[in-house]
Amino acid sequence: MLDQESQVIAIVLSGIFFAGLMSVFVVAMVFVHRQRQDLARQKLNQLQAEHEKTLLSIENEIQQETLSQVGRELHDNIGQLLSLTKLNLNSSKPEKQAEGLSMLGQVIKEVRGLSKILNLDWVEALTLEDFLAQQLEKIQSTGFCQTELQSDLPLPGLPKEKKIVLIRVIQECLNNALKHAEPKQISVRISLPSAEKALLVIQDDGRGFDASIPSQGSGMSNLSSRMKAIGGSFLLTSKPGAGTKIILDFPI
Amino acid sequence: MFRDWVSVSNYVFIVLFCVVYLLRRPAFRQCSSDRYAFLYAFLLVATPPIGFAFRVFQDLNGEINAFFGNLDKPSYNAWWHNLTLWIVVPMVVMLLIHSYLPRGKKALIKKLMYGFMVFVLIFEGLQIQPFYLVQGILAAVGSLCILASCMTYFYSLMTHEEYLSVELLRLPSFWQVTFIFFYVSLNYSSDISFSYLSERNPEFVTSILWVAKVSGVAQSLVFLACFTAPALKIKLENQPSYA
Repeated sequence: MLDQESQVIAIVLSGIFFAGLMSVFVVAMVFVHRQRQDLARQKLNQLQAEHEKTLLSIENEIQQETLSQVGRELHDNIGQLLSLTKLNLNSSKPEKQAEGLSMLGQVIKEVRGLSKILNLDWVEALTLEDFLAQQLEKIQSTGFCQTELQSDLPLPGLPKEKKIVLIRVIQECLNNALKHAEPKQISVRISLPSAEKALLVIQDDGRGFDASIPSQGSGMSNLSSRMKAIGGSFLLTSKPGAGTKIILDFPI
Repeated sequence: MFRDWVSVSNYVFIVLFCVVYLLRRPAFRQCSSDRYAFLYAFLLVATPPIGFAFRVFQDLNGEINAFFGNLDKPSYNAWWHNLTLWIVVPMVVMLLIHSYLPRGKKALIKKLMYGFMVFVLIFEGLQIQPFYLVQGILAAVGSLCILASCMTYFYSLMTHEEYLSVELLRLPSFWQVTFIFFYVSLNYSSDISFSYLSERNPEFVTSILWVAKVSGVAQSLVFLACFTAPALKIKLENQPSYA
């Protein structure tokens, strides 16, 4: 009888022990899972903050560039036009006054054009292809080199933030090509290898450089981190005398 | 027929599971994990009563025993328990966990299933232990396969990012696998040493079987709660999808 009782007690105790063990297991699993969730949330917040920081710095850069462009326009173009207008309007000759009035109209048009580029709304209105076409046309019109734009399929509309980053990266790549490579030709090709991603290849036939030597500046790493911020990648290949090829890969 | 309240609970669970099946038939048809979970829970509660029925219908049981080479003890129903609890149930548990896992881990469970099937074929083909007696080796291998599958599930739960968006306490698969894991590990030693213990210390076996019975009832309650949660308006999480 006592034996049976002690067996029952032992089994009840072992049952309680296993139930306790199971509870500890469940609590531990939930605890570890919650910790992982917290860590993932922190990581996500950090990534979001970094993304916002990148966007903010790019917007600042674009605004600064826009302001200096506005300054140049005011000084070189509108200022000159206004001076001429003043001279013409001060003249007693009616044809000079009429010319002055027409210049005033031109000034108004120029000021309107400038006001449009002061905020970043133009980014929304412009497609990436249009932007590229404008930039390449501008380069070609200055006589630096020949340019070429190829596009397999039209890119679908990109969100403003993504477009701002891409615009900045493209501007930087084109500026670098003009500044350091002395190319005869710059070509840009847009392709859509899949429904989810796009490739933008910027290639020049300039001097090129040894890409295996780590650069001392932060330009390349900046471009790479900016592309990463929009879920894309930046790949540069170059050889001395063989030009430079940049592949921008980004989700659409 | 009704030796204790656990035996009664088996019949109650059979009725409840039948009602659940009738009410949730479309859901079971659509979702393979629900189907396997139901099959597992139903097999656990239906095996003892069906085993008892074989003892009642001696003629059929005697013929089956004779088929497996047992002519002396026609009332034995161990073959039924070997077939369901140690061959079918491990396969169903592996299929259940297979349905819960992401693609990479599914391959592991698939290999485990094939390995278990090959083992069963060799083990039974060579008649290493008679099929009409309790097969401790088969029980050990079946339990180990179940435990390995459960560990794989817990590993993917702790490493896959898809689970990060899920509230663990509201995830049916978590509770199901946890209870399977504990039920199997709790009964592992008694299952594999059943023959030995029942010869040497039958009272101890009777007592230790209570642990299996009580944990089995707890497990059936958890599965029943998972199946009836939508009807009881209990909010549960869906299994994360691995796109």
